Amino acid sequence: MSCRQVTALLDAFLDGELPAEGVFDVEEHLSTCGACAERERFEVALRGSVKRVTFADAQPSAGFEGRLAGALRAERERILEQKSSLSPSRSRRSAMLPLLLAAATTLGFVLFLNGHVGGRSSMFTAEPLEPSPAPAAPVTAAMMNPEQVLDELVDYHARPPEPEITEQGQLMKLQPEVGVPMHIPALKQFGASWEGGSVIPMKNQHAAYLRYRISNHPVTVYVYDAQRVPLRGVLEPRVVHNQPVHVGERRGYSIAAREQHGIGYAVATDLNDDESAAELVTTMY
Amino acid sequence: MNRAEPRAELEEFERALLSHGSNLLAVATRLARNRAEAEDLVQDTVVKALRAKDQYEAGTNLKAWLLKILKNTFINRYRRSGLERNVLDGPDADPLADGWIGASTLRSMRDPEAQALRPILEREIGAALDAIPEEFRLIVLLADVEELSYKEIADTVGCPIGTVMSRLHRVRRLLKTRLIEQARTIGITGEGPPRAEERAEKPVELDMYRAKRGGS
Repeated sequence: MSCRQVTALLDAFLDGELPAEGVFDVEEHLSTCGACAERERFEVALRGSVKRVTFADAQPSAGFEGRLAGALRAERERILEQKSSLSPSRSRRSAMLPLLLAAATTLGFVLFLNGHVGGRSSMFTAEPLEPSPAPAAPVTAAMMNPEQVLDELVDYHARPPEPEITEQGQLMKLQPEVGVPMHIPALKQFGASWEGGSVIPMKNQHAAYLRYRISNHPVTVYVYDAQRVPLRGVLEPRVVHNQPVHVGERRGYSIAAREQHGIGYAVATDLNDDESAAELVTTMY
Repeated sequence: MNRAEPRAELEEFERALLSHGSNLLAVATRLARNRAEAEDLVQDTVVKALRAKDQYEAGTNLKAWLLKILKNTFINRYRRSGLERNVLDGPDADPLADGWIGASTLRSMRDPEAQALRPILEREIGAALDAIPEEFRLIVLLADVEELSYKEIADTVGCPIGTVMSRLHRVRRLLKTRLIEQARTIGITGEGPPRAEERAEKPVELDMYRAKRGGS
């Protein structure tokens, strides 16, 4: 191998990139050629100098290592936080699904309500909702039945039927048709006066329709089989007096519903205050 | 899932990252030519690496991976389309500019007197490195400081191995030339232009040798 060839291979030789046979050739030459050996020493020195000067010029500022470790520590905590919030959120999301559905249903209901009541402030939202028909529409369609029930319920409140019974003590007579035990609601505490009761069709079921009046405001109490009348699906859950109730508003009437031992109780009022309906429904039994 | 497991894994990875801190800083300082920027660059690099831990292929060269992140971070930080490189590319106009240095010159630079002047010469190397285009600078740093293989350098920089080799050769030649000029300036060596027969030993490209030997 000539000096010329060896010089050409010197970079690769020193960088450890020369194939084994090339290494042997170069080493053989270097062991016998002073000039090439000198060149090799210089190249080695040059590489060493590049390394040395580069490290020498890279003196970190005070506390750099600490800052670096701190940045990594902070990033690690961020990553762990993300990881821990990611995995439970998956299960939380699935657990949230019914709630989200309920919320979407409520949204659909509110949109429906806004469309009909037009401009009337909704109890669900202080601000008018941005229309988002895409997600709301199918949900509304799926939940149309309870809404129809709610509509009917409000209809009976707005246009009361002729009472079948006029004595509160005769309430038990309604029981066979309604299918749930009938009790006299404790509405006297609110100064309510009894006006009469009926059995009304509610969906494919029957509900007891009990008419009262509080301070000249009609109050209707509905008693029904909670298993068969899915009223709460279109109402918003609340807690009043530590009891779960579902409240809503339709055509300016406030409605509150509550279930107890499988019996559904709903109250419709025109007191224009959902809490009054909720108040009644939670305290009357 | 055991909560302690990912934490321990991350902590172990952090330690590995920190063990390369001074190497990264050396390259970053030479690349950014500014300590504060270099430190930012290293910090960004290791934080990104920790975040991208899952992308690191265990068993491969962690340092090479980090240097790749560092290089990309450097480019992104300055919103460059790539590293500067045009100056040293292209054919050599003058064979003399190839930096062929006679053995006697090299020998004289090993003299005890020259050794005493080594810091001055090394400062010259530092200045020469700072002056060359970034892509060339990075390649020589990856080779000489980080001791990466040609393939690792090619992966890091994103160019073919042949390009790595030719650039490396050009940078070293340039450094040698600068070094000899400096040596002459400070009187270490008084040697003139190389003799004709030595010039004839102008290096040839390694790929030619490889092609001849049937290697890659």
